[in-house]
Order: sequence, then structure tokens, then C-alpha cells
Amino acid sequence: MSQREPVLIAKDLRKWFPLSKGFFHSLLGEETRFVRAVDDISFEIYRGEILGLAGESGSGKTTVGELLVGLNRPTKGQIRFNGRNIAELLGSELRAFRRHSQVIFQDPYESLNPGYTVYRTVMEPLNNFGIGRREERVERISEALERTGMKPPEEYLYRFPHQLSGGQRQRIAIARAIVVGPELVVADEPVSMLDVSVRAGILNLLKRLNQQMGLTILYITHDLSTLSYICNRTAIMYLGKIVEMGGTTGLVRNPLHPYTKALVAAVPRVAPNGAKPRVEIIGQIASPIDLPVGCRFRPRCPRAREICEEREPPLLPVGEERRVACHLYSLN
Amino acid sequence: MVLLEVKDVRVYYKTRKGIRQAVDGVSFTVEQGESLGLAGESGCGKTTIAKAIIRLLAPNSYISSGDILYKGHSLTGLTESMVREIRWKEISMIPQSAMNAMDPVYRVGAQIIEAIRRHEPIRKEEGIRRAYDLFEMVGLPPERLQDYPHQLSGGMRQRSAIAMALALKPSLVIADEPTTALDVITQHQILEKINELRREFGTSMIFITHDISVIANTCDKIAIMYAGKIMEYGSLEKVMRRPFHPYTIGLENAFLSIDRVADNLISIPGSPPDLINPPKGCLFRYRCPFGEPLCLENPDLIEVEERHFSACHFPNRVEEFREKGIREEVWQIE
Repeated sequence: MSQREPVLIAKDLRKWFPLSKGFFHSLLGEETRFVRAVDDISFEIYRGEILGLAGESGSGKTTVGELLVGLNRPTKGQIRFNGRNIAELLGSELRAFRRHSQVIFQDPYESLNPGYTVYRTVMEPLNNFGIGRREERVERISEALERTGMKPPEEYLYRFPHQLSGGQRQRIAIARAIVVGPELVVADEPVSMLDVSVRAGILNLLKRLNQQMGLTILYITHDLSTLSYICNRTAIMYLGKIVEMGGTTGLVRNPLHPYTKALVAAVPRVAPNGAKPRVEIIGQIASPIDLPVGCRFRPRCPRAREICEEREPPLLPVGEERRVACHLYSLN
Repeated sequence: MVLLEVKDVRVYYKTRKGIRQAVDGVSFTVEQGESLGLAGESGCGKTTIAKAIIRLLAPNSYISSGDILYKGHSLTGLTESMVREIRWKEISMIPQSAMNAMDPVYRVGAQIIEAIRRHEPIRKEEGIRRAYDLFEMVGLPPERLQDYPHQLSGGMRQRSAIAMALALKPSLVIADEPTTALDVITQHQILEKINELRREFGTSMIFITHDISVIANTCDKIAIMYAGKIMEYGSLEKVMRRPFHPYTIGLENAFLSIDRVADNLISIPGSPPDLINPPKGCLFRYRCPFGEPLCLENPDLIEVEERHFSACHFPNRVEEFREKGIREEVWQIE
């Protein structure tokens, strides 16, 4: 990445979901409890990069994606997209913004309307945003289909989702996302429902769109093995917080945070009998409702110390490219 | 000693559109204490063959030919009540979703005790003790025996499904994608536990998964399935290190590993054929870049080296396959 211009900056981004406490408890004046899905995180996405966002289920990674495309409103904090805070947008302004930030979902069997042809599916966003006249729209649709490898486009225009394979459906979902010319695409587990033999094709496609069109992508996944392949940088989330962030290759080869270490070590390796790093952490991810005091990873951490019970470690730079939220590094 | 022998089994489904040949002439063996991995894409028949072994096939499907021998006795001809004797006690299953294995309205402990007592005339106290031991063995706090299935996390449910599968100390355990729905750390813990228990009890296993890396960490032998047939079969080392079949070669090049920083990941174009009236000949030929006229004839699974079989007409071209198979443009056939 030569020019490092952020297309998006999230600052102290928070999304807490209130738990319904029931009528009786509210009469008693009990405090509302919250699921702290995203808990004051800050990061940036540079123009033209693929940023990976990885973590276990319940880590808050999907919620971050929803906030960035305006599918959910943050409780607090800012999302500066090309300098404008989209967290404040409402109504028509918010709708207009969505043209710049599109999303691809996990399951192409669920995300496409089964009653729509490919043509209608990819046309829909052009209608929504009032882009182009008829001829221009047809042209844009063909171009989007070609870019996603659905060649020749005429062959697919009048097909329905059930006439397409899983990989082809995901390509249509990608075509629908890029047809409006967004600057940022949030891809939430785009390959995890697909078979191994077609996964590579979708990842290659995302990579190509990134390299050829300069499309910026936030790639959300729980599958760490795909990170090294397509992400320039990666952020690891744990219980609503980013615990480590940096260049993907460095992060995977030399993870610093004890959680990242465990996560990387736990990925099954293909090479049989190869040397395997040990996974040291114990137990399960905690509930994001009643978080432990201090570092939220402490109950599972093999290297927890006294300070970890007292203070939550901030995400601080360690070296050139890396940020880590762990007292092991912030004290030295 | 051969524990399980699957001999040329065909399993067909009756559908509205016709007969679907889900499993078409599959043979393999599982030795005492051995672990076999069945790998393949969705719809390749890997789960169907497992269900045929444990006789849990859907009502519209049937074993049309072939035989399944367990400790030398045929399982295919058994009546339902005889099968029930064998199921769980001799052969058990860990399903993909443990929620499906359990009844949501009974406590987990009660279900395990019930399963044991259905096969062994033991007293309730003895059953409780056994369930307690089982939970400790799979790394669950025994007080969770009091929980209902929905009170357990995904990883805990999967562990309790393992406890249930091991309750009667079966000789063979079939695990159908036992960790697919789980996060990596939980997956790692479960696989370690399965390996540990296997070493301890010498249980044989069949591991069904689309994830080759899971098989690489748990199995001695691997069978690669495609469109209802075995394409390649042999010891884990040989198949992974020296693949002979173009499909296996393609799969390995399509497979991502966290250590892999390769910049060309290859996808296999196209999709598997429709198994209702499948075409004659090699079923992979539509996606294979190395096809020849001979591929219109059905290839047999032939021994290409010791303990290593491949269903391709051209074992002599394997060097070429391996060399060209890593090039992306080779796979770009229309």
C-alpha cells in the first residue's frame, strides 16, 4: 500500500444491545443490562486494502460490519466515512450513503430473493439509488456480472437462484454489491457456506476486485486460514474489543496477544505430523453481558497477572505495524 | 483385524424426479483401532454411506446392492430390532448438530443414563455414576448433567454428544462433521479429546468432513469421495503427500492453510453432476483438465502403489498432473 489514506475511521465505536428485563423487574427499578457487542473500539480502513476482522462467534465482528454499512446504529462513537460521520445520518441521507458502502452476506441461499431473476436482483440497487437510465443500467448490470466471472452475462440474466450453484449465487450477491460502485464492501463470512473447491474462486474474485477496481473490503471471518490469503491487515476481536491488529503475515507468524496466539495455534494444519504450537488457553468465550473486571480475556489467559484484574489494557502500538491490548506489552 | 468392511455398496434415493444414485459402488475397510476420514464436497455421499452403516437412512432411500460386514457379520440383512442392539453398543454416531441427538425436554444426564440402561441391566445409581465418569472424561463439569440441552453452549453440547456416543464403549464411532459448527479453539479442544479417547480405548473411527485439515489431525487413512464414488483411497500420508487423482490434486491446491502464503489458490470450475441418471464414465471428467476419450469409460479404483488406490485411468500420467495441477490456467476449462 503506497498511499495510506483512510476511507473509514471508527472512533470509540460502541454498540450495546439492551436486554429486555420484563415489566415486573422494571417496576422494581432494576438497572437495564446490556449485551456489550461492540465496546468502544477504534480502527481505520485504508483505501484499497482488504482488512480482515476475525474472532469467535459472539466476539462482535458481525455487529461491527452492520454498523459500518448503516444496518445498525451505534450506541456511541463515530464512523467517519470520507470525513463525514455516518453514525449521525438519518432517513434519506442514510439511504444515500449506503450506495458507498455495500454488504455481502454469508449465505447466498438466504440473501437472494428466490423469485427474482439475476437481472432483477442486480437491477434492484440501481432502482433504489436511481442510478442511470435504462440502457446505462443494462450496461452496468452486464459489466458487474462480467467482473464477477458470470460470463457471458446474457446467459445468466434470466436465471433464478435455484438454477445456480452456491458459488454462482455468491457471485450474483457480489455483483449486486458492486453494481452501484461502492467504495467499501463489507463481506461477512462470504465463503463459509461454500464447498472447498469453489471457495478459492470467490476469494480470488474478491482479491481481483480489490486489485483491479481498487475496491476496499472489510472481510469478516471466523476462519483464520483464509486471512493470510486475502487480507493485507487483520484485526482480532474478543468479546467486543479489538485485542490485536496489524499486518496479516506478521500477525499470523508472530502473534503477540495470548488470545491471538491460541487462536492461531488452534487452526488445524494440513501437513501431517508437523510441529504444532500448543494451545494454552482454557474454557469458553464468556458472556458479553457480565464481563469480567479488568482484562476481559483474563479468566482464560495463561499469563494473567495482578494488574489484569484491575485495569483493562488499551490497544497500544507495539513496533511499527502492530497494536496490542495486553499488559504484557504495555508495561515494558 | 478388519472391524468393518463396506463392499461395493450402492445407496439410492427415490425422488420425484427419479432415482438418485447417492452412493454408487463404494468399498472400504476399517481395521480395529483405525481411524478413517471420509472427505468430499456436499452431496458426494459421505453422510449417506455413514447412515447406511448405522442404518439410519431416510425412508425414501435404500441399499440397492453390496454388503456391509461388521466383525464378519452382514449388517444389511438385519431386522430393525437387531440393528437397535448393535447401534450405540457396537457402532455409535456423533452427529454434526448435537442438538439433533438430544431430546430438548429431558435433562442431558437422564438421556445418557437412559441410553445406557436400555442396553445394560444396571441400577439407576450405577447409571448416574457412569454418566458422571463420562462427563469427566470428555471434560465437562459433571454438575452440568442436570442441565437441559439448550442450557449448554455449542461446544458443551458437542462434548456431551461425544459422551453419549462413548457411553456403551462401542468398537466403532462415526463422527459426522463433529466440529464444523464450532469455533477454532473449541474445535481444537474437541479434536484433542477425541484423539485422546481413541488412544485410550482403541476405538475405531470414521470421520466425515469436508475439511481435509481436520482429517490430517485425526485419521490414519483417507477416502476422497466425489459424486457418490471414492476417487482416491489410502493411508493419510500417501494420499496427502502423493495424490494420484486429478480431483485430489485440485482439492489440495484449492485448500487454504493458515501457513500458506501462496498467491495462487486454484478453484475447480464447475459443479458435480446430477446423480439422477448420471452419465457413464468418470464423473469428474467435466471438471477435469486432463480428460481423454478413455474417460467416457468408468474407471475402477486401482492400486497405484502399496495401500494407495485411485479411480483414474491414468496413474502413469501422475507426474504431469501434479506439475500442471498447481497452475491456475490449467483449470480454466470452459
